[in-house]
Amino acid sequence: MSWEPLLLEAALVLAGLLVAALALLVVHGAWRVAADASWRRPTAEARAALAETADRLELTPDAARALKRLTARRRIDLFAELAPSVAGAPRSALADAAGALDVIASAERWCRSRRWRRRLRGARLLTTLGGGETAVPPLLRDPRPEVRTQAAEWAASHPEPEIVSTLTDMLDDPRGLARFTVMDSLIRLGASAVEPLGTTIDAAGGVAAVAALRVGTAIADPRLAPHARRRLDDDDPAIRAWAVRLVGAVGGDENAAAVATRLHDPADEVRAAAAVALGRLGHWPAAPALGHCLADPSWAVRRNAALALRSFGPAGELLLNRALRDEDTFARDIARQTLDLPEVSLPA
Amino acid sequence: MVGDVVEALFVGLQWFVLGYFLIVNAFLILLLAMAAVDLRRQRLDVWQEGRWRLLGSDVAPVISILAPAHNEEATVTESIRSLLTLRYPSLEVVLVNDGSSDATLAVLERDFDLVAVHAAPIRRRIETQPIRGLYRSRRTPGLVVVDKENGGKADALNAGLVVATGELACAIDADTIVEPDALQRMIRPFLMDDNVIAAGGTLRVVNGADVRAGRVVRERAPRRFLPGVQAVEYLRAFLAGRVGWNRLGGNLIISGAFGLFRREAMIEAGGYRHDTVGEDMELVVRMRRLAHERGGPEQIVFVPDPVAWTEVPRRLRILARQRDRWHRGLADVLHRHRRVILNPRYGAMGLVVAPYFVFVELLAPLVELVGVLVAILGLIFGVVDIEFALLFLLVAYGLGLVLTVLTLALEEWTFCGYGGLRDRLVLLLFGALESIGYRQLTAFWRVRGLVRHWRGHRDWGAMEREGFRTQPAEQP
Repeated sequence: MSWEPLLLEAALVLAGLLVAALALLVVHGAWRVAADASWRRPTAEARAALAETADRLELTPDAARALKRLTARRRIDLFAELAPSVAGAPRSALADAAGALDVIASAERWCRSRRWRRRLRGARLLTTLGGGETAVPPLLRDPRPEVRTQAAEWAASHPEPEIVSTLTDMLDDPRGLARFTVMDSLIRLGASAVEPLGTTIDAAGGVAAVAALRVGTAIADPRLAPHARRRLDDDDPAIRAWAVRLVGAVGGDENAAAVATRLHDPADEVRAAAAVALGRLGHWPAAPALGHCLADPSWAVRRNAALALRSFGPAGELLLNRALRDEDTFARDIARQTLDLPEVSLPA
Repeated sequence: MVGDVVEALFVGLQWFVLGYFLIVNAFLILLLAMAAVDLRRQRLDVWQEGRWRLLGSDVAPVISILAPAHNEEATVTESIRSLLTLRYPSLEVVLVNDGSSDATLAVLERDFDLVAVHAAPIRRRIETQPIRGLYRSRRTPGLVVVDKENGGKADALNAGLVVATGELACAIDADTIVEPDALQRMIRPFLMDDNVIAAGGTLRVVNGADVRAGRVVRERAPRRFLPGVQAVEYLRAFLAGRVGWNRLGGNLIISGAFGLFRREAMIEAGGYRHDTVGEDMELVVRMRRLAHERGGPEQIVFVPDPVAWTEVPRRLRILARQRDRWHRGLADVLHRHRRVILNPRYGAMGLVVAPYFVFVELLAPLVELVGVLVAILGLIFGVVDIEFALLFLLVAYGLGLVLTVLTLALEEWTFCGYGGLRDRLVLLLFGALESIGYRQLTAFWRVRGLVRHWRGHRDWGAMEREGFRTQPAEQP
């Protein structure tokens, strides 16, 4: 049988594929090298012009001309490159320049696009450059989690009550990244977020309540403590544990006493959180109760109680030393291990 | 009569090998196409993404980096320095000195001012070889050193797992150099989707690059043949293969040199197994399998842009041992989890991914060697036409070359991770030369690994590190 025709055809197909692949590699590479070379000087000039704008706090006609010489894409990239490095008045000057060069208007148009990636791009650009006060808030309820996430990031620098309230409504977002960003933005908003957070802590359940308490713990505003104390008896142990952390983070005698009662909670994660909180507060009146926790059936509670006692200094160490002679093996063991540590740091 | 039978057998075998390579290469091109689609999506998703935000966040999950080290005195300091300077807010580095007989621990004590922390409270949720001591650094609070008796890499990783405190655990080899922002990129799928339990990142070959103070400061393709041709293999495996699997049923391998896992999922699965040389793949298959059987999160993703650099063997002897070991590991894992293969209960993993690993990854070297032998013997005994033998070579190696060039084109279009166009042309040259001798040699080593697996060999073989081409940091 002669294989020659088949061989020829196969060789031709392969040669064609190889030439196409090589062309793709070499032509793209050459184009990239050539494009980089031809845009190097205009880009450097535009970068200098933008830096000058941030420095002088105004866009001069020369700087505008230098920036207009770039393609829209390169111009946007340049703004996005420089904007995160500056703050305050220089940042506002860059935002004004972006507005004058239609960059902001383009981004706002993208925010209204039907294509979600374009909406995402618009929101990203407005987060970096500023602006978008009317275009971005509707994106907080976008069907795409990526877009919601970006809008939540934008909201961190917009403490208007409606926006903060929408953010707290998003604390039970089904997508992890959106939840993370909402929590992060609320923490960055700080005091502006306290009131709606308090309402959420009172009313929400499950994931949203835990997320709100987590944010509250990071902010540690005393106004949140009464809301958290009301959740100390919640049915959900995760909510009780985070309520303990929040109350502990705020501190004060009343809150410390409330935390100490949770050392007898039926859920070990709550007892463990209470031990850490008492250690952080340095609430030594709780030392005897913590000493009892050294024989707790849960390892995490034993460890946290021992670390809390050690963090109290001599008074706590006295109890740990006594525990070395305890009838309970686990209490003796954790006391020995903790006393052997050269220094202690309480777990998060 | 006998001659006719032998001729028919030879021709039949040649047809089988030809068909096999056609199907395999067609599937690999499909994987490459899927990778191109996924890379485009990924590039659009990360455009102007503000990863810096994570750095100042109070709610960023803690990542514990697990770095096992066994006789790594040449590279351990540089690797740890590189890890400690990663741009991530909540980072803990757990280096496990797995009973090194060289000066690994002494080097660490000297360079990081370690202080012994005897018998710290650790919950031993996975059994490991005895831990001799725990150390913390006076200079860098984020560093924990575990000194334990030798138990192998899997045992060292398990010890790191129980000592670690992070929500996520990043397994790396002690000689791996991770790019500074790699963890910020790698954590994205975990934040995006609660269903993700593990993610892998791209490994590139560090031989040839300039390393300064534990960082790659100048990316360059290796100029020597053996590391160069391995750089091409790594590109094909990571850029084309693993990215493509994101869209075709998920990955079965997260490289032991660089992977991020939910620590609780690893512990619940029982950690790494000691009795296999493919412990990284075995863990991933087990985690996915358990997720199918018990229900729960099961997604394994590959994220192409977090990059880590690894040293590859420069000598044939070491490379032979490595490939032998990799193939024994693959055979062992597939044998242990044989019930998954073609089992609809495991979804795409059972029906697509696992069969691919058996019919392509495991058996390809065997089929390739058979094809080469049959072609040579057939030509000698005159039972195979020269045209047919050429056709076989074209399909087996020509299509492979096309795949290599397309992978390099994808690299050019996306990351340009090895420097400029010139470096990619150097890699192209290595890719073209790969089929002449190197491929057949690796096929032979892999088949030898298969045979040794059947014979029950479980040893790792020594892997000698030569250290990076590195310079110390400049003094201010």
